[in-house]
Amino acid sequence: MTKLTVNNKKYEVSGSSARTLASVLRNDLGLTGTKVSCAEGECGSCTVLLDGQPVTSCLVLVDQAEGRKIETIESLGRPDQLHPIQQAFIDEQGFQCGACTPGFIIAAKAFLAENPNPTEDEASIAMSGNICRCGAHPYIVRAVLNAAEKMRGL
Amino acid sequence: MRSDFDYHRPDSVESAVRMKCELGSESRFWAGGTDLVLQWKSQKIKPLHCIDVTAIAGLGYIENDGSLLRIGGLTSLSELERADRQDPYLKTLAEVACLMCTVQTRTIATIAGNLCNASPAGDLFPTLIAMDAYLKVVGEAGGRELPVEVLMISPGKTSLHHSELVTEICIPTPSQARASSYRRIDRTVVDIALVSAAGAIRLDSNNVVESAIIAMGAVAPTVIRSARAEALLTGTALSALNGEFLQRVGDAAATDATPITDVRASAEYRSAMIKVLVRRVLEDISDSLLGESE
Amino acid sequence: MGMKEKLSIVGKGVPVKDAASKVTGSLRYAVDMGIHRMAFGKILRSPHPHARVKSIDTSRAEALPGVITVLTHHDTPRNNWEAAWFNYRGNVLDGIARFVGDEVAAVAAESEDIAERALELIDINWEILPHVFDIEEAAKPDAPQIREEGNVRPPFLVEWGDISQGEAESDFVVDCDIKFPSQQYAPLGRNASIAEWDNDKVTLWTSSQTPSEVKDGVHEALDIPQSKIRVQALPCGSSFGIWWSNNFMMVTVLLARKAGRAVKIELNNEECMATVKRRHEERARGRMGCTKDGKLTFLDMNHMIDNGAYGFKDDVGYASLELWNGIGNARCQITGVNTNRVTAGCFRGVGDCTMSVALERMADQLAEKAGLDPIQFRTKNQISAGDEFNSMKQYAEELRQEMNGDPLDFVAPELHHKWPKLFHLSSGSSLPMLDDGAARFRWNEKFKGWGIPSSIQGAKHRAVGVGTGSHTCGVETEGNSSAVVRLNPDGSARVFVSAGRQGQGSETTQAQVAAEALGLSLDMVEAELGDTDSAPWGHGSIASNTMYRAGWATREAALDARQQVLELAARDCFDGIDPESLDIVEGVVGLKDNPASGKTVTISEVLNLFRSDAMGQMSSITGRNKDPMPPTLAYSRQFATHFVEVEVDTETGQIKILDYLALQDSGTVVNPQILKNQVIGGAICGLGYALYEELKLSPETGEALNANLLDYKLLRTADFPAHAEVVFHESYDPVGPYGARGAGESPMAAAIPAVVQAVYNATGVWVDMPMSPENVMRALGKV
Repeated sequence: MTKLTVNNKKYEVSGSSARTLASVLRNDLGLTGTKVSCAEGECGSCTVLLDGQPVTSCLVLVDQAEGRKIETIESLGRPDQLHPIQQAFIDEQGFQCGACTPGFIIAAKAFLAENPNPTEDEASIAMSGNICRCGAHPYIVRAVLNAAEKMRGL
Repeated sequence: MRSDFDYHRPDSVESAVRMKCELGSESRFWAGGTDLVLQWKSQKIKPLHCIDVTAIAGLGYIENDGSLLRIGGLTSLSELERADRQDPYLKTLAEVACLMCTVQTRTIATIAGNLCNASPAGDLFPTLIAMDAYLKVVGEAGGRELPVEVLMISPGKTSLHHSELVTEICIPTPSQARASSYRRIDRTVVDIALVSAAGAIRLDSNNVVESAIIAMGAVAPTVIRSARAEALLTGTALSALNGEFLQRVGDAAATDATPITDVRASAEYRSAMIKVLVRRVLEDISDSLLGESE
Repeated sequence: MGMKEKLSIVGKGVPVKDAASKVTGSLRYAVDMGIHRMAFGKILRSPHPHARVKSIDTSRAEALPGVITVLTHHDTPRNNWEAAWFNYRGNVLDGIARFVGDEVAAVAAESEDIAERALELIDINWEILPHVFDIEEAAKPDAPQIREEGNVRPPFLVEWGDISQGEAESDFVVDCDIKFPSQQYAPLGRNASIAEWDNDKVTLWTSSQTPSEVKDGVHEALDIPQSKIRVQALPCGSSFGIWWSNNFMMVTVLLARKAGRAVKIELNNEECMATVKRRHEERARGRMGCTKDGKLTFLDMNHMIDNGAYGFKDDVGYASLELWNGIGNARCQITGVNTNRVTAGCFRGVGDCTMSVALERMADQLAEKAGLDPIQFRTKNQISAGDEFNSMKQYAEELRQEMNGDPLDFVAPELHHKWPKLFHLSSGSSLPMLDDGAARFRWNEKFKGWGIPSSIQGAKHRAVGVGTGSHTCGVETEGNSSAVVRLNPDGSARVFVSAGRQGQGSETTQAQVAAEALGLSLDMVEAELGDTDSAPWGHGSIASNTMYRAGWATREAALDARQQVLELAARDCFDGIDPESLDIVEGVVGLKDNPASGKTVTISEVLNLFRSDAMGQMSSITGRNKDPMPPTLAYSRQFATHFVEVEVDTETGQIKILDYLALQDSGTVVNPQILKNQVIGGAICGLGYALYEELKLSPETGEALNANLLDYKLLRTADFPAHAEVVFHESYDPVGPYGARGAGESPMAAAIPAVVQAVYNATGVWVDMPMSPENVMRALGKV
């Protein structure tokens, strides 16, 4: 039995230890906002926060996440009440198909917590841990800068 | 089919080592796990037990007592990225960490885990070897020290006993003028080194090279040093570390390299590039040392 | 025709309708979907490049607890099914494996783990067959034949004039022999399919750009009536043409039928990258000539494409032949050849990212010889609106002879009098974009001459390049596009048109077009694109079809619905006046000339007036497009012109992209925010293909060696300048909805030659793709 704290809610998950956090989040907890694409830690679409730090959940064993604070895209906002980062991504249309978007937004959240006033270069480098195959690259960077501005104004 | 495994979480080095001995060769020490998960998914390894060592307290630190840098084995790459860059060797290590994998992987990947993965293309290997670093390990037979240079015996294999854990990485930091650099060939901004080179030079009080270590990655089954390049450098004045001389050192280093062709690059390209990289590493070092001596 | 109307919604960069779903992660792709009590399927794949199943024993697999059933070729019908645009032709399973990774059998079980374990328990006795991997080898008559129709498709020929005459007139002649590697879609988000049978009717959920064609595929593969098939095409992750109709979808349908349970098959990343589809490997051998003042005299092109195991194409996009319409004489032959490697098919900008790159390179080499810069040379030889397509002269003539008259004589006059002049480019061009782009990019400052860097700092050479690209705007062959627009009693509307949702915002732009036509605000219009029970047959999102052809149908259907409303309103609310004097604005019907002061009635009131009418007046308005769209291929193209600045490290071969400007002419821009993304996205995908993306196929087994994102390199945010700009040239299309044209693929076609030329200018050598650091150094002779 593995105890997980996800988005401030407590869960008890049974089953094999030979599972990743990504697959448990999606298949056992029904939190399908976290996407799994490459499943090898390259694309970042499965990014979640562990104690506020970004990790690719496809590389984290479920038991390793016990006792840590896990935040997924579902913790951020709802369609009728979006987080400033989510709104910024909409304003700049920092997405196309959307499959990479939750991963980028979570990575952006961690980045902006550490660097609330980034330059374009810093934002661009920071977002390079994620891949957007559709090619929204410049709009993703603008979304991060837009989000930084929104959050500084709060 | 991927193996099923049990999960264990010892809270001390002693209990981890003991557990490893009990559970035997079908068990694996697991730190960040960023390489191991991939090997398990692709069935390269089939562990029956995962011994998660990340709960062991007190193994994540970067300390500088003036003559020795000590980095805890479980220090994450992102902690290394954030290291205080005042010390020239730490500055190089922090810069190298930024090149490694992705920001997400750096959050959980540890230095010990990365070194034990023993990849000839691994960025930390040549960097630490050039710095004359050594490891402290603890295993069934107790504690011992070994140079980083002898850790990797072939791609994916270390010289460690299966019960041994890397608890600390030590880097001597004598008070003389010193500088290091690491350069690699990559394609996109996140990549594995196609070929890499690191160097570290210490000067005596007359600004003459007292010791030089040149280490090269992805040009041999392990990360190797270039005796020829080092011989050329030792005893040379700082003022001579430029131009055609450095090109010769680069060429000499290439003669010690035995690269192969694989899906990432050909042997010919790697041979040609190692010359360029070694030269550029030395140019970096020369710039740094000249900047200091002004 | 040609007038730009005053528009209220078309042209606005409104956020996409599913924006909130995307940023909250709540948008459901097929991988996120599940059905209560569904089983999980896994596919057994061939370890051999060409082999026949002599015998297959599934007893051990079936005995594993949790396994529901195993599907083999003994259970499947022997019908060939075809994917759109000849991207696949074959049986679902037929006991013959034609590439490493080919589907051989499938297991349905209670869990994915059990299904996977069961795969290992299926015992097969293989008869190894001879294989062939090389296109040229496979084209030889004595090569192992991979398919019943033979390996070689009849060559596709486009020609005009007399090339030997053209060569005689040439002062300069160049040639090329370029191999283009396979690009892999690397579809982020992967895919899955879920099939559920209800007696003899099946529903299939999957992420697809082509809902109607998936339904066709099931119909052909199973030979059951189309009325018994419902496809619910879900939004895709990045697709670029991989998720059309794929064999694993058909396997899912048959597995679910045998299992008697709903079954979900989810493809892992390696399966997505190694077993579905890839861009053809291609080889362009050509010669091209020009006069001393730079007029292109001839092109002789021999182009081969590798269809892989199940691809069936005999041509690739050749809009470049139309873009470079100034070529005096041409002969372009394209031949499709099968090999024992994973199927190859259409990838964004098919043909116009390969053959056209060869063409642009030869043109650039000729320009250098003639002493013209790339802008001048293109301006001298590229097409302008009104020009007759050289490439279609022969076809047009053949039609006239076959029909014994003008083709238009056979089309109803009330239709074709609205058509543009066939076989002529109706609108658009690269020429104004070359001029405008050159000025904005400060081309004259930065371009120092062919093969001469703009600046040098140590080993780092900087240079600029320009590339042009074109593509079709959808195709009318192999099927048309239709739309239906239904009004709800409250006056809101639903558009039903077959299209994909893979990031190009079609659920938004189709709604924008319909809202504009109906006179409704955007939030009163929604588009349903993927349900084949409601959307009529349409070509889906292929060949840059969506805005142009699907959008045209949507507008026609919306106008039809609008007309029905106005006729009702005129008769029963406005004392029988001429419906032409009425208009709808924001859902309110009123007099065109005096809307505010005169009588007004809402659409809802018009509809509800008649709901309880015992005489059965229309209480639901259904609009549809009645006439066929003019034949797009005969007059419409999209154009892209890209400028790039690179820095090449001439000691290592590494290339950095420093600056980028993309110009696009796709007529009216319906949604600039969406279209900028499409243009930049195409540029980045093109740069990726030009620089790093190569799906390496083993010379020993034909299998993909780098079917993962570690070694299949994709550009990341820091690999592309965040300040890149997009500029639109909106040349009004006479047919497209509100003057809009297709746009998805020409950006890719322009990006590649732009960066190839820039690298030439930086280094003095032409480098073949991928321009990896190593390939650059080899081209420089330094490795």
